Amino acid sequence: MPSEDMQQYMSVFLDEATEHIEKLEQSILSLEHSCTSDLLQEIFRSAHTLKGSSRAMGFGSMGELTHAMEDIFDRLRRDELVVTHDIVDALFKAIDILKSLKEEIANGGVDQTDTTEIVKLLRGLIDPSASPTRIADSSTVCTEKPISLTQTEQIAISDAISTGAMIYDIKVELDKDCVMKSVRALMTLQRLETIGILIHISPSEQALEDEDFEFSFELLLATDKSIEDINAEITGISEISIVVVTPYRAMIGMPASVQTANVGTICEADSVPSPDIEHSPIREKPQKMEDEESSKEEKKMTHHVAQTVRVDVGRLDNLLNLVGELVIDQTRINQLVSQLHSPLDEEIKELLQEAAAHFGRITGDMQEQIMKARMLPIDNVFNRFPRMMRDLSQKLNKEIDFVIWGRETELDRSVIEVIGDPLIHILRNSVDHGIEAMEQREAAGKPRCGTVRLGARHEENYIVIEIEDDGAGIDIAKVKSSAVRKGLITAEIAERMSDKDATNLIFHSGLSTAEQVSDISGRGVGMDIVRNNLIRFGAIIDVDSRPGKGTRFTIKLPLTLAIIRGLLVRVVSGVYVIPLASVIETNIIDCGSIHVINGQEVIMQRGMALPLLHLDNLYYSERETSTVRQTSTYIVVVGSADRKVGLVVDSMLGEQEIVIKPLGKYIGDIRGVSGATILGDGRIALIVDVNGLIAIAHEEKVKTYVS
Amino acid sequence: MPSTISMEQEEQFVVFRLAGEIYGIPITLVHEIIRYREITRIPRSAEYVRGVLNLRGQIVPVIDLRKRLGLPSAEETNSSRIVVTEVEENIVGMIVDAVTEVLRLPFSRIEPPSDLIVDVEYDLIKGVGKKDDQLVILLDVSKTVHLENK
Repeated sequence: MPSEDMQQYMSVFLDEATEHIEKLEQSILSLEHSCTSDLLQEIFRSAHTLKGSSRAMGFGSMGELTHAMEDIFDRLRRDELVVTHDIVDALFKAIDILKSLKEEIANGGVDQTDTTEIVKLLRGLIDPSASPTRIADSSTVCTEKPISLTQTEQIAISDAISTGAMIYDIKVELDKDCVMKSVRALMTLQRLETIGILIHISPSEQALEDEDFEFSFELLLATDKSIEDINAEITGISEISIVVVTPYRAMIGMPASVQTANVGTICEADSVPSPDIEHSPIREKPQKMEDEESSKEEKKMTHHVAQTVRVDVGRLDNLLNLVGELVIDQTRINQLVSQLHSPLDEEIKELLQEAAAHFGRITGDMQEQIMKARMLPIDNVFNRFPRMMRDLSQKLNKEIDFVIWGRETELDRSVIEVIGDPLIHILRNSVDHGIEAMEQREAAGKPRCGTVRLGARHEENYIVIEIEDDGAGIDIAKVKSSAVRKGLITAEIAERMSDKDATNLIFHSGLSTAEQVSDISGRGVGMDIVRNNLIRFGAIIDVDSRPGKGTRFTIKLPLTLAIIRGLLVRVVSGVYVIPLASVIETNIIDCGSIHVINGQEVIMQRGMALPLLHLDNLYYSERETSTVRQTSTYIVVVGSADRKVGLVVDSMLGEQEIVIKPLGKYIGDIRGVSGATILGDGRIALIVDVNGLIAIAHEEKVKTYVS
Repeated sequence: MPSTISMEQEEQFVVFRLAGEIYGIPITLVHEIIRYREITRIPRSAEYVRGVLNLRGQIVPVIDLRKRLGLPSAEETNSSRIVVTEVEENIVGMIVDAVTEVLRLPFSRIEPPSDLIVDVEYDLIKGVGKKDDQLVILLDVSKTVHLENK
């Protein structure tokens, strides 16, 4: 069982493990295409770090598995092994097991999954004729007290100096009562590796890992950072009693000056080193411990080193809410200022206005910055697809070139969270249904290897994601006949249906054109769920297909789910917001042109009957709505291409960005209302649930709906 | 701990007026008291739910306490207040005619509801407190804000 002391490292460990596993997975994938030494080095390092930290945390299985993986990477980077399909497959298997191990650790704190088999598999891949034991780290040779360096290390030092880096000798001593020496030591190494290159570790890293050392260890670090930076990195680790950082004089082999101090007061006030000063004799006599205040200052400064922080999303949400409050207050202040009358000094009024305007600008900037802080590149979703596509193409025996573009396109993390699953569905469909079998492709004069392209780009206030394949395209005749057979449409309608509309039939539930139901797709539920999920958060999906050439899905997503653009309309006494993403057009219509068909009010628009929905009847009782019918009225046409409805409103108030707020448990689900927002003047406006309204319009006559 | 033998156990109540009667709810359940302000109607919600209001960015449902208790409705006045309560993590506001005071009531002065009070939904009353010669109707806040059909 992990001790309490260890518990505090658990989350850090898990975060790091996640990152390393992800990195490994991606690197292994690219290993198949291009096997460069840089890449191998990177993979090796990831595996090595993961091994070290999992062992330090006492997760034996994970340590063992990563050790076996590390061995493979080690052979690969030393050219003792060549990348083969088998190796990559085995490594992927290992990654999957690593993932489940990590999950187990996250959930219960114990890694239970049996790793013997996979370790055996990995070990078996290593040519048995090669030396069976790992070559000991070169640093194990030199554990004597004065640092003696191997030739490689000396070369590394001169290399580092030639690039302008400084070499520092770092002596670290742990508290005598430190219970987890290896954890502290490895943390020290890890932190230092983030700011430079560790050239020499004494005793060896292996020994540190195995807790095979007293309380101190010594390192040589090549870095372009200052002594303060180094100290700052190390002082964050607890249970370290003394850190001594000295510039290392490679040429003479003797430390230049010595700085000894207790943790926290390490840095001398004047020790801002530039390479020149560092080598000059002036450095020999710093005003040692001259003033306590300056060392306190330094202590404060050392905490400013970190470049990034992990922040709980909840906090960002809170911040956004608070800024929303500020915006509202600012509007109120402006209103109040404008209401001030003569008794108040004109000058003061002017100053007040100025202050209010400034306040407004700052709030606007703050809102923007916080929104930016919530943004992530879409690669966070995209990066898990290459692996999936590889597995799929193998399973289906299809060759697929999977191209991703626009990885860096940023969007709010609320959207990132929901977009993954729909994309998986569509990609699976593209591989399974879109791309033809290899023989078929050849017969059609296409390259054997199919291409699937996934990409993202910004377009005004939206993100557009495209999934494109060069497969067979959607067979319209087949879709139509399938729809007729399943009773979705009549043969007569199918006959008249445009190709575009027919293509859109794939989004209906219960329609699959795949002849065989596979476990990849083809149960006829995929695209239906995809579209419903997308619509739920205000996205629009469109499909475009050319027979024999391929299919392209286009998804238009809002940048964020927390803030949307809405069209503000007035209905009776209330202000309502219609999400702009679902607005097709707005019109003024002549009330005389309204027809009633089967009790449903419609207007004819471009030859199509558009059902009308009176929001006042829907939201208010008869007593509250005015009985006087105007001669003309405003309508807002909402919905998607095949399911449109016209909302009758009293007036349009313009469009605006709004922050969506839930109505809360107490009010519960109100049909036709999806949430609320707070307007600039502090009033609440309800958000119209367009899909709910369309459902209402389709299932019953509006008139009977009024209670 | 020094014992307070002579001190009787007591509870504090926020006391408000509603249709000529005096009511109290435990102060521990009161989140805050605000002036009456515009409330946004929610279509097709329960009849006594007046709507929602914006409490520093939070959307808070408000009930019309007169309607809830079956009392005749009245226009809001300058002294009208919204008592915002928090019960089981639900924040709900109640419209009252006026908030008068915070009252300490020893347990001995609280009695179970009697059938003397007939104008009001009986099962929403927890008890009756006596202060001088006045009766304070103590509401069961949890039952009062609870929507019976939810």
